[in-house]
Amino acid sequence: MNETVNIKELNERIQKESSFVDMINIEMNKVIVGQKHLTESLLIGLLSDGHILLEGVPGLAKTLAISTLSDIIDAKFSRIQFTPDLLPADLIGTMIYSQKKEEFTVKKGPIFTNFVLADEINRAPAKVQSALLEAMQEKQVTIGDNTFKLERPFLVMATQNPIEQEGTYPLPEAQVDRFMLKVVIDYPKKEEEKVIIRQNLMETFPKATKILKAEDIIRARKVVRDVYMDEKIEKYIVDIVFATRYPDDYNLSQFKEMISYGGSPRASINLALAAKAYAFINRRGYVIPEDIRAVCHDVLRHRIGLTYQAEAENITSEEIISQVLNTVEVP
Amino acid sequence: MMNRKIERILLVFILLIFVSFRGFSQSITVKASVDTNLILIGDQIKLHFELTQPNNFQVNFPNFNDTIIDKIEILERLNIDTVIVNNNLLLLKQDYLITCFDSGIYEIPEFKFAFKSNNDTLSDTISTRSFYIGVQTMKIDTAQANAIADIKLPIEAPITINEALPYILYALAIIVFVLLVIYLIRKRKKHEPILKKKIKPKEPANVIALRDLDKIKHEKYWQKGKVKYFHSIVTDVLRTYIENRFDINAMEKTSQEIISEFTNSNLLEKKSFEKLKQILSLADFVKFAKLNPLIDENEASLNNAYEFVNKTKKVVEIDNPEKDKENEKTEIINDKNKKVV
Repeated sequence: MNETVNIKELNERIQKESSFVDMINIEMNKVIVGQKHLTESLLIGLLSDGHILLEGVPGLAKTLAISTLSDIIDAKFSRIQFTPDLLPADLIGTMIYSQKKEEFTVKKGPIFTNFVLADEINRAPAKVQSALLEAMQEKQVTIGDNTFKLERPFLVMATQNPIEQEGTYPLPEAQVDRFMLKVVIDYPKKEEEKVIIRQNLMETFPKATKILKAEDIIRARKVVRDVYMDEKIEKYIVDIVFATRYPDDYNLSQFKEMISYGGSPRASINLALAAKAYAFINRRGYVIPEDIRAVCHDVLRHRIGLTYQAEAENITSEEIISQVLNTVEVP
Repeated sequence: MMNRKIERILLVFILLIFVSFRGFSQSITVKASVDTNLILIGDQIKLHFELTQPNNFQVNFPNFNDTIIDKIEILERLNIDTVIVNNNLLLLKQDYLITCFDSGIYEIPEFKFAFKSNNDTLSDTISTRSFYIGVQTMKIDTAQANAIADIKLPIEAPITINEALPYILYALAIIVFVLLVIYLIRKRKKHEPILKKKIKPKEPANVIALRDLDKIKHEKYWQKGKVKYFHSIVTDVLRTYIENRFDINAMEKTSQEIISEFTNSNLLEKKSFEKLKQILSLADFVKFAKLNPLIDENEASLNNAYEFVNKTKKVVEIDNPEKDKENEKTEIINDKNKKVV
């Protein structure tokens, strides 16, 4: 085979730069049992500079997974427990009057870090959520008259609990859209759960070791963006996203009354980025349709608005995405 | 003197008329009777009327509404039955089904029958004799414990097929309707069309695929530098072929998914499977990884596509008796040759 130079070079670069992926997996597996999809999604978010929203019932190691990832990378990490009485200032910081200096000084909040774990994000009121989501989008924070750039890499991993909806503040659609991935975690398998029990009954709980620096991640992100995506794949992405907006045009008229709004252009961008990161994790310098299908559910599930009719008929966004993938022609 | 004569004549005339009616009334007889004069409360008996009359007379039976007398109720009025006794006399009978729900002794009065001759305008009446009907209640032995019991419910007659059939049909119709609704709801939930329309190609899948491959070969795409397009349409032809031949939605599946589909199902021989894998894998590299394959690889893909279609096409076996006979003859000759040898 006479491979073209660009792809060959890119593949070599990826082979070199992605060597840490296996190491991250090994370290993560020391602490997290099973949850392969969760680990993979965290890596995709990390490599494609996208924020992640994790959803699952309590006790599925959501918080542990995120804190383990931050343990593996030599970077600053903050954990913020979102509560109903939390204020935006508790998150981004505030101006404090110094009597000694007779002036206001800036007290930076816990958001000035590399990895933010926003635990139970839907428990805080809308103003706190807005403050966080603005920082996520702009990657900068304004306190008083001063604007501060956030550190790179800056990754927010938020968790939310699908049950116990009483006293929560569900994230508005426009703000959920800012999360690149929404990962839904399910219970571990029987064998995995046995290992979890054994691991937790040991005297010392396993701990991940630091194997990466923040700079490694920034460098890997550049390579991820260079992963080749053919025009055919771009068309495939556009077709999938358009099928969620105009189901009639894709022989999906049964969903016309079910979808109130489809994926935004941000969905297309994030689908492409996540697919590139997935190809990188799989040591490939180019994206194939399998990559798109692998990340499609995580990228789109929070970007499709359902109508009351869909809710009444128990139609979920998952089902719509699956049907879209089964209908849109693969290049 | 003259007046006395006239009086005598008139008297004789009146006497003659009277005598003639008396004579007729003797040939008309009426009779009222019942089956029995003593009945239990609620028992049903027949009241019979019998009338004998000459042919040339009109006699009217008495008319009743609902009752014969107070408390003696008419249940049914039967038609008049006529019997010719002889040339001049007729016997007419009419029955009433009667009952009574009050105990006591009732006098059935005389019933008057009006009659007149066809040749005369004057009419007279003739009456039946009155009689009594005794209606008694059930004797209750109050010494017995169960002497007074509740009213018995009507005895239920066994249900016949004809009676049950409409209900059975209604029940079946409801069951069919409910099943239909469940089916429609399930179809709707799964987002499947109610009636699946499978558009099968009129031509066999292999014929279409081979014709398309011939066209690709003829157009010489890769020789003209359209390598990516060449591999795209070769895989499209194969996917369409797989869809029509194996009922696998190959156009909506990735290469890996198509390969997995065949790995799990054992629909293909190993050789055909390997050929398909080569075509799809190479095409993926060309389409998505900017691979520029060698000339031999392009040719191999097209040849493998031909071979895949030919090896996996559906073979329809048609019985050919003439061919069978020929085969038999050949076998006999071969056997003879063997013997000679």
